[in-house]
Amino acid sequence: MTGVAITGLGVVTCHGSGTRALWDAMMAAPVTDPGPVPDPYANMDVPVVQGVSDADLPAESQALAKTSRLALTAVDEAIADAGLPLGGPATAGSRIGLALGTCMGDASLHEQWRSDGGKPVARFTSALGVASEVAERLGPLSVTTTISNACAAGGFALGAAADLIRSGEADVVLAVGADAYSRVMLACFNRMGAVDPVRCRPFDLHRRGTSFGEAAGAMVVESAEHARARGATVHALVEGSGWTCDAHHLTAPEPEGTQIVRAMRAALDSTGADRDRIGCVLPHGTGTQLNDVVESRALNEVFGAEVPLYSLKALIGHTGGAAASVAAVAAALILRHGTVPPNVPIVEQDPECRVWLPQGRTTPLGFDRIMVNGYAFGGNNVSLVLAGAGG
Amino acid sequence: MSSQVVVTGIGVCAPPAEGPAADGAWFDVRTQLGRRGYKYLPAACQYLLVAGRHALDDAVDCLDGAAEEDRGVVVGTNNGVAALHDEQDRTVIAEHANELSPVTAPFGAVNVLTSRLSMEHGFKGISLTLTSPLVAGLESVQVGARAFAAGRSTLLLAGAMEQAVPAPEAAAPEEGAVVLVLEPPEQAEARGATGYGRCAVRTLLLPHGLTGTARERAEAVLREAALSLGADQVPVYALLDDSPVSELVAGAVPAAVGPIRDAGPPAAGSLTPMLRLADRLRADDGDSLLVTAAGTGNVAMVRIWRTAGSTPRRSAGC
Repeated sequence: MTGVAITGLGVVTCHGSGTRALWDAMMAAPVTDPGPVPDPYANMDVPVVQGVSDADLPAESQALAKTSRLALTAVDEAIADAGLPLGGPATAGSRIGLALGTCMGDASLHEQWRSDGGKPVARFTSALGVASEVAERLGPLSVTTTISNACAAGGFALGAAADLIRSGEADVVLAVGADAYSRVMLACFNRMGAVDPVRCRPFDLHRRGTSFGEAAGAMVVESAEHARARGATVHALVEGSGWTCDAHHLTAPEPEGTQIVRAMRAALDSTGADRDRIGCVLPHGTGTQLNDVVESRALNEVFGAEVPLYSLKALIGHTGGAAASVAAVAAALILRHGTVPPNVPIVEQDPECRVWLPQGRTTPLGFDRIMVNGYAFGGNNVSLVLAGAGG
Repeated sequence: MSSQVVVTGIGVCAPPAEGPAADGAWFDVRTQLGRRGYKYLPAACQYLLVAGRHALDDAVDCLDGAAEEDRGVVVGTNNGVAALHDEQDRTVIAEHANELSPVTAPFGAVNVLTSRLSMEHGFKGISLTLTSPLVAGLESVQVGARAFAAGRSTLLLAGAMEQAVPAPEAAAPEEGAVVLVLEPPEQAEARGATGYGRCAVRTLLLPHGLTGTARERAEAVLREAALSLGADQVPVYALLDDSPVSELVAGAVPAAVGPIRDAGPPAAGSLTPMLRLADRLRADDGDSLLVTAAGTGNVAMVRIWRTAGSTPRRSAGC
């Protein structure tokens, strides 16, 4: 099977722009409360988000809507990190692809129209055209897909990117996940009573829902042969991914977690790796009541309770379609450093969530394979296995 | 390069071509889906469920050889929840989130509509929602072929669903859904199903304002894609708008078998190209290449190899 290499990383979160900023935040593990949304029309009980500061986004992208700005910020870093630029000599003749994951896209464009009291006067455009903005950076793309599987979109995008490399449809693929604040989405979660008024507290006994953040993660993905031929540094390998659907409920996970177990096992099976050789899991872990319990049980079933978890959403909030992309970038950083950072402290772990959340100290990465989970409304599940560059 | 799939069932739920402008009046949810459990779904989801039923009926015994874990759903949409979001947002702006309908709040995420189709038939394989402007429906066929090749699925419902956009004066509205039953060629052959024909899809994305060598490179990418699908062997049908991207596509795609044939303009979403694909699959002269492009830079090409002698079965519209 074709080895799929990650050769470029880019990320932007509420802790700043760049992989260095993310890693520093992961190691510091600060308790970070969300702030009020900068939106006078956010008429809802809990109008908060862990937002990305304007100062962390390039001024030249200011004319664009925020999800596109986030995506481009991460893409620019990933391209530079990979030693491209695309279209230059390093990729002349290469077939370039894009796999984008986003839940709401540039919904803020439409929301702004409505805040202004009107409708588009010229041409109605989909809010989900973020890929078009990214293409401005990449040049003509031989293959492209935009996946909007809600809070798991970025995970599916990385899995799709790996599939594009393995199928030979592209030589280099940008796998991107991005989402910004959306008034509609936050209002819907408020209406469902699913927003924690404190912060995102996965696996905490006192959690009361999720809490959103803004972010983008980007990865340059190519075949190991292609990377080797152009002398690129390989940060990690995408060894496998498993995709399943609960087919159970519009919003709630299937209580037995049958399909999320199957997604994890499918990802492991596609790597040929033993489940005992996973060094860390970045769970979906949103802070919603049932999701955390079901995922914990599923993790116990697949791995037991001994594998360390790194609960990223406690640090950056639930970043929607970007969540699994940023988690994959974080996983690549953990693989690079060989260290699982301390989790953001929680007050009291839910006894129904019997998972290992190391807090207050780093944990050596026992094995250089990491699983990333992403789940979405509708019961859409994706699990990915990333391995260190040594494979 | 682009794997082929066999289309063994077609389901269409769309207003009659000669009917009034899209306003939902052509569709009665109780008649089409039943009295309970469907009324509060977004209209695009209702259309999708109807098209899904038609497609599975049309494909006859397609479920026999595929376990529920191997059955998947891939659906494209651009505006499946645009009208709902418009309504929800205006409620939040004018009143409060607490005034939102609790039954529609879950549909803030468009993939829930696709997942509802997975739930309807107990499909536990992949469930993907694609949203590339204009081409998301055709992309579902491409993604389906890739899912077969990757071993992620052995039977797929691939389709497009749309609901009229809340700004019809700014975009040609479209309503309805198309669902195709896709199978890997070897599986369809094993169960003796010839289907309507085979398809292979390419999707591309071009930057704006191309000039000079960048334009030449884009033309080369377009030409390579078109030739990889046999554009020089079959008639080419095109849904193009008035954008520079469409102009570039029209000039770059080789059309050796006569001039490019106009398949009408695209509309606001991803449905129209899928309706044209369904048409081509059912047409006697179906062997062809269908091309579509829009000002966003999105381009899709689908090659159709129609099964000789196949005739439409129950693939009727609503």
